[in-house]
Amino acid sequence: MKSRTNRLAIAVVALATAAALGGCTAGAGAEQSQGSGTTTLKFWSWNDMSAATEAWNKANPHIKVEFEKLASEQDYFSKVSAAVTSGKNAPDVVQVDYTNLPSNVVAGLVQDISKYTGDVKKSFSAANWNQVEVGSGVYGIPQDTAPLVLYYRKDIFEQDGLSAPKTWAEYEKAAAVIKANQPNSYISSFASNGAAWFAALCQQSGAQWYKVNASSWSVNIDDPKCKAVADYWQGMLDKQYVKGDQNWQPAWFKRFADGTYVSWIGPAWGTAALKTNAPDLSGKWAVAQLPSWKAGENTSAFWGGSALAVTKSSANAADAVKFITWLNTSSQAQKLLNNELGIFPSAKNGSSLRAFTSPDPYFSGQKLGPIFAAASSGKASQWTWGPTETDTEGALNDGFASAINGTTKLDDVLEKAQQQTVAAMKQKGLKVK
Amino acid sequence: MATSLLTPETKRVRRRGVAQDWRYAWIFLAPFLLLFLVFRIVPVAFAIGQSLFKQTSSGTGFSAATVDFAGLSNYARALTDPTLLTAAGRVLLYGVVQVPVMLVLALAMALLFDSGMVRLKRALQMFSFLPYAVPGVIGSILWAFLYVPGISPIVNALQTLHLPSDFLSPHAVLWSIANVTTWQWTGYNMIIIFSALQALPRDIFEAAKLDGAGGWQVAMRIKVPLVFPAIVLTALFSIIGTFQLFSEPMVLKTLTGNVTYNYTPNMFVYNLAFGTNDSHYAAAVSVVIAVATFLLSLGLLRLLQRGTEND
Repeated sequence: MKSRTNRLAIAVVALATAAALGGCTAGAGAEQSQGSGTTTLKFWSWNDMSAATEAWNKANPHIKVEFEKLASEQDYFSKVSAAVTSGKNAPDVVQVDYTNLPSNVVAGLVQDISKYTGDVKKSFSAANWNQVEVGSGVYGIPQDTAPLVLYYRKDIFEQDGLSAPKTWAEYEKAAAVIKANQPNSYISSFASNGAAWFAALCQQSGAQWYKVNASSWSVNIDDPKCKAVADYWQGMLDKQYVKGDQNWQPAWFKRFADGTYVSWIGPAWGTAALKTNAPDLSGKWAVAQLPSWKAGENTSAFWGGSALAVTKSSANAADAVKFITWLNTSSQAQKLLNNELGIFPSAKNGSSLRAFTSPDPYFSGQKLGPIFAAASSGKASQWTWGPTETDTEGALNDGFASAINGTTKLDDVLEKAQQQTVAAMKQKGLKVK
Repeated sequence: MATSLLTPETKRVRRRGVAQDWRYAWIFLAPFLLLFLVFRIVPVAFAIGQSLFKQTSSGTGFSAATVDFAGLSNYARALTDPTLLTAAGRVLLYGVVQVPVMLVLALAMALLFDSGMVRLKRALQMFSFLPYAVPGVIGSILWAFLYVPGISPIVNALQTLHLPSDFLSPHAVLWSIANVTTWQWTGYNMIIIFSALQALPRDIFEAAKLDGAGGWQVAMRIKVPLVFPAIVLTALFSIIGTFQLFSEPMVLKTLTGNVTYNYTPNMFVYNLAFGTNDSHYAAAVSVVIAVATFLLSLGLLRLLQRGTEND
């Protein structure tokens, strides 16, 4: 009896380990659907763009687009990469956030569409078009842009005799006043998962994390300008003006609703997050421009935003570009996308959408369009994301968590992320100058 | 007695019957074997094949990358990769504590239910098995809400009593994960041990009682040794589960930065495959994890069996 259990147990172990191995290869099935005479494009996104897609299909019966919303942004790229690599049932058009665009290019998931884009470039500001250029190629059409702004509790700031801080020095002074008057409140949180947010602040300071040279990359995550940003936030943490917190989780949202946090350095697409999670505070919030390092300086920073790209496996790139150009530049599509998703479009005609030109009661009746447009028109350093950005963000976020726990300093986090990024790029065979 | 009645004629029929039995056996086994081959053996072979190659870009990486045979270099890299070793050390520490705690709990519950000392046995048994019926991710989300300050009634209560309440702190979070898996799997292990207990012949216990053994002695000296194979089985399941730790830390990661990017070996593999886009190295690391799990399980099996033989 004992030997039987023995054999059974070994069989069980063998089976279970086989299951572990099998789990790492994703299967893809089903055949590509092709309409007769018309082109059929598959379009994947983590955002619901079905209404705009339907409008296109009505007007363009010869280029039929099948839209599919994928469950979450988290496993979106794993699905895209599995489908495009295998070439089976793969989408033609995918949404890619700017952060991940270069790594998708290096991974061979998206194709250079510069020969199809023609003069589409003119519909965008230089800064916005820059986001889809990687090296000498064009890898998408920009959809939305996300300038950072300062969301703040107008009621509490006024009660404490403060106006919207215009510089980071003023922001720190305001933080001290708020701490003194409301001991349980913080001016904001410092995100333990805020790598992309922190990158935006480094961009505002004039730092450049990555540069593409003729045949190599330059990596400067520990740029002195970025280190100055790190020192500023380290000080804010040390003085307990900001609370270290994981962003985008229930407790963090609750701390906005209950007044623990009285401001947020957030992106243009963040309005919905405030409105949904702190509905009772309608009329108490206001939006101001992002504080700058020097008084009177007009600088911008961008957090998130995404483009629509054409996958490398697509055989219908020309038609796909027609579709995404329409989706991201026509006023009809812009209106539908804004209704569905509340995004701030990248195209120049985007800020004239009615949603942005009418007063927003949640933000004390301010008109958000001109504010966001101004926020994205300031000086910002040319920004390219790296080809191993997920790993870099992992290293930064792990470091931010340690800095919040007091086991390291933000300065050192940047240095470590720099080393890890260079090592990861070299591992891929990339040249780093 | 029966054999003596068989004529040569019936013997021949018997023999043909055996051959036919095998044919039927293959027909019944075919669906399983086919699926097993397609969904287990082929992917494993594919993963092992993948692990022997390496994709290399050059320069800026915007031109096409090359895929070359890399021999065992991915394995050499995996075995010295500090990220993998840290993650493996973490799940080992977790397993050394979580597996014994869970199995002692499961065994104690199984013995209690078996002894008939518990009232409402069926209801309680059902109740303790219920967490297993909740999908892992959902269970983790349920617990996640009980760990988050400001939302969890448990954290609120501890805070009003001025007791430590930070379940997500750097040192506590591993044990908060262990708590979720213990909650989820104790009932399942209990059922395995309980079924083994129920299958034991009752007359042994009566004999023991006549010899003057108390309830405790019967449990420790008779029942536990007799169901030892079942306990070994649950231990093996649990060790394999330990190395597979993935969804619980992934869920808690959304709540706290203290669950780091490559917290467990499986999270590392996931990030390699879908973050770093290095499927070849990811395949090699999964093979290493599988082999390590296999060796550790075998080692434990040997150790436990030597233990029983010495008895």
